[in-house]
Parts: sequence; C-alpha cells; structure tokens
Amino acid sequence: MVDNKNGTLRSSTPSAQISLKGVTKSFLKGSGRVEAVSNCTLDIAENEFLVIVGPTGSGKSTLLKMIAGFETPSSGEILVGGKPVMGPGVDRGMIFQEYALLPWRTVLQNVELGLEFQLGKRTPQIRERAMKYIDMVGLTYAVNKYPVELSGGMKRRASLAMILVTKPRILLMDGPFNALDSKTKLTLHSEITRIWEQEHNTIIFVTSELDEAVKLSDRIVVMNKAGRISKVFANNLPRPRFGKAALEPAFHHRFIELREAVMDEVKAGAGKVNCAADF
Amino acid sequence: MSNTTGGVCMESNANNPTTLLELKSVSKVFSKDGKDVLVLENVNLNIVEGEFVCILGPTGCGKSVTLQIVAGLIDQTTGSVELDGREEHGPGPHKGMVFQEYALLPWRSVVENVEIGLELKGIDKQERRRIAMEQLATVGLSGTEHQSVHEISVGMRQRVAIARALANNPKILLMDEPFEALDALTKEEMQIQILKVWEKTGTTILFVTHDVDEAIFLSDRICVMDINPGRVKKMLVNQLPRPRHECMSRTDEAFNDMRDEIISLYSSLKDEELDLII
Repeated sequence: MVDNKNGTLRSSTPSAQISLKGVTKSFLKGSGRVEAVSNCTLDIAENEFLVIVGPTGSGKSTLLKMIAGFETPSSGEILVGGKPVMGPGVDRGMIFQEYALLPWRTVLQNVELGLEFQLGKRTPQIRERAMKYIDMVGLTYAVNKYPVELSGGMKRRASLAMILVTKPRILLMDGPFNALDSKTKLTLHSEITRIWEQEHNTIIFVTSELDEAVKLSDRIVVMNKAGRISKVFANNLPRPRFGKAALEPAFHHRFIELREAVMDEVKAGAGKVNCAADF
Repeated sequence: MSNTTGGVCMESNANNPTTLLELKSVSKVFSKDGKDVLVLENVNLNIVEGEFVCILGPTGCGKSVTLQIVAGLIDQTTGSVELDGREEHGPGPHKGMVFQEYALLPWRSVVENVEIGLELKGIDKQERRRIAMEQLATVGLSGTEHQSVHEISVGMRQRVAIARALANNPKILLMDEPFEALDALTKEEMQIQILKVWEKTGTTILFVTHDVDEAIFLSDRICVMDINPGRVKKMLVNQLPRPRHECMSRTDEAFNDMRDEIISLYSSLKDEELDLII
C-alpha cells in the first residue's frame, strides 16, 4: 500500500479479497438465452483500484451489480473475504450514475442518513463523522444546501460522501463521473485517488473512458461484446498521476502507450460494431 | 374534496376556510456573477384543499423555483407562503416531494424506500410496513415490494417515489416535472396513475410542467407563467369533465380549445421558446 506511492505495484502476492469464479449471467431473450456476463474469473486484491472497461453491452455494469449483490449470477460464484455474496451488504458501497439524494434533506442530513438508519437516531457523533466525509469530498461550503441547489458535480460528491461515511471496505462505482464536464471530472479523479489512499478501500470502477481507466487504475480489465474478460492489463504507471507528474514526457509516453494497448483490445472485442465512438 | 372541478368556484374567495396554500406577493432574486436577477416577480397563488393545480410555463419562467419555495428548499426574497394558515419555513414530511430524479436509495428494496420517512420518524417496523404496503397498493405496485429498485422500470421507480411521499400522509404533494424523463407511453400511463391516486386519496397536488397537454389532462386550474421576469400570466380554470382517464381523448374539441387558449397566451414568445412547451 505504501510502496504504491513509489510507483511499484503494491504487493507481489496480494491476498484475494474478492474472487470471481466462472461467473455467468444469462437473460431470456426471444426464444433463447443470452449471456450478458460469461464465465468471468478474476481475483481482486485488498486495496486494489480495479477499473473495468468495455464497449456498451459488454456486461461490465451487470458484473458490478453482481458483486454488489443486487443481481445473482446464473452460474459461478462470487466470494468476498472468502464468503459467497448473498445480497447487498454494508461491506460493499455502490455508487451509481444516478444520484440518490433525498431532496428534502440538506447535504449534511443526506450524508448522515446511512448512519442514522444504523443507529435509529441522529447523534453528535454521526454529525461529526458526516462532516469529516463532507470535508473529504470538498463540500464543506455547501453542507446546509438542499440537492436542488447543487450542480451535477456537487451531487456526485454528496453521493460519494453518503456512501463513504458508512466506511465500506469495497467501493463499487458504476460510471460515477459520466456526464460531468471535463474540469469537474478531472478534480474528482484526483480526489477519488486521494480518498482511496486515505481510506485504504478496494475500488472497482466501471467506465467506458480509457483516459479515466489509465489515470485511476492498478489494473484494467477489458470486457468484450460476449461478456467475457478478454484481457487484464497491469497499470504500472507511477503515482501520483496528476498535475506536474502527468506532464513529464516519459510519463506521458507510457500513459499513451497503455491507453493505445487497451484501446486496441477494446476494439478487437467490440465485434463489427464500431465502438471507437465510445472513446 | 375529490374528483370534481369544485375547487374552481372558490377561487375568487381568498378567505375561504378551505384554502390550504397561499402565496402572497412572492418574489425571488438570485445573485449571479455579482448581479441581481429577478427570477420570480410578485406571485400570488391560492390553492384550496383537494385541488389539482398545475404550474405551466417555458424554461426560465420560475415554475420550479416557485415549487422549491413552497417546498421550503429555498427562501423567497420577499412575500410569504402559508400552508394551513401558518407561515412555512423549511421542508417537512407534510409536504411530499416527487421530483424528476426519483431519489430512491439503491441499497434499499422497494418497500424499504417507501418506509424511509416513517423509519426516520421512529415509527415501529410493523406499522411502517403496513403503511408502506398500503401506499404501494395505491400506486399499483403490490407484489414488487421486495424487489431491488434496479429491477424495476423507471416508471415504477417514480411510483415508488409517489408512494414514499404519500406514506407520510402529506397535506400537499409537490411534483416538479415528475414524468419528464419517461418515454411517451410511460408518461401517459403515469399521468393516468397520478389522477387515480389523487381521486383515491383526495390529496392536494401542486404540479409543475412545461407540457401543455399534461397540464390540461391533469388539472383543476392552470397557473400559466411567463418569462423575463418569471411571473403569473393568468390563472385558467379547467372545466373539462372528470374522470378524464377513462373517457377523455386529447383530440376532443374542448381539449383543443383549451390548448389554443393557452398557446395564444404565449403569442409573444419566440418560436424556439414556444417549442419548449408544445
């Protein structure tokens, strides 16, 4: 974990926190069945930042929802900490593309919500912890605002704090920064990295943007149209990957190299459909 | 009060005891880049108990701002908002909110989402389950209670949001373009559904929309708003017979007349502004 900052992989023999074993999810379609996710096997280490990319319809969101426990595999097995996933749990916090903020509650009250449900009441301790995470996502200036007053980026931050405050060991993020303007997106990239380094959680992050994938990940999983994992790329780019560090020619060169390699793999797995438009 | 157009005749009498919501000279100024912008000018609005009122207007007329002020989410700059004769500050479960983003908590099941307000109020588990199940039935969602909110369609999610608001037994339901994100077919289904809910519960509804047909189909009265600055242009009484969801077609003559009347109110708008409402 610490050695990560020096740009090396964090551990050569990491313990698997999440294990996917031949995970398949099929749906009825017409007279037959289609596999949205097909025979996926993968180990994810504790404190790893894993990014899953792939063309539309490659099953990456479905895979994430199965890890979250919102959907059940048709066959295969998902283990978290050695135990099979039986449904959603507090150890796994999922952040969706849509915001889940209650409109009649302020930012603070929304962030307090998860803890309030756990304790059955609001306490000064809850407030204090909520404030800590609101500060972590950079929303202290807006704690008493209602969601209608927040921009898209602020809503994402609030949703993030709402999940972080419950201290999930695993963060599952499904295109969390989609549809944000690029400046907001860039800020949130460095912030999610900082939060990940601070909180030491494991992150599985689904996106269709390759820049995002290369910037954030320890490893990049590419899924193809058939719902299979076609390749896993180790991302050995040194951290930090923002600001001045990203401008170093050597860094930039490696960045582009990895992105191109991932892009080729994604294209190869997209079938005849021209998926380049996705990126 | 239920499915009659009865609310209408009391409109002229501001002191009528059944007045539920009253906006008096409400104005709102926003500061933008150091400059003050008047977004809402002198809005007066009276809603009687059980009435279904639509606020209609193009983008920028302040219709959502009006609703947010009533909801207590933002403060008016001048004027007052009274609910049941008492000045209102801040949101509360007595004002049920259903917005375009349905704001369900993804880690809770359908029924657990309906229970949110009740749980936070400290109502015991059995009782809140009973209320939630009753409200799910009201919106036609019995049988889906244990599904996750991902498994249900977007139209159904909005029904869950309506059931959640109803579970708090609100004095008024505040709806801000709740069906805007839905496809045309689902939107129509939801319009019928909300009329059924309204007829069954007798709850007062204030409904913001930019869709002229939607306003005509749903309302007892339509508050037609104008832009630059946002203000009330005219209060229209909607006499179209009820129930509408069974017998009325949107091509009826009366329906068309009403539509023409509203469009003519907007004759000063530019074409592209008009496009936004029809």
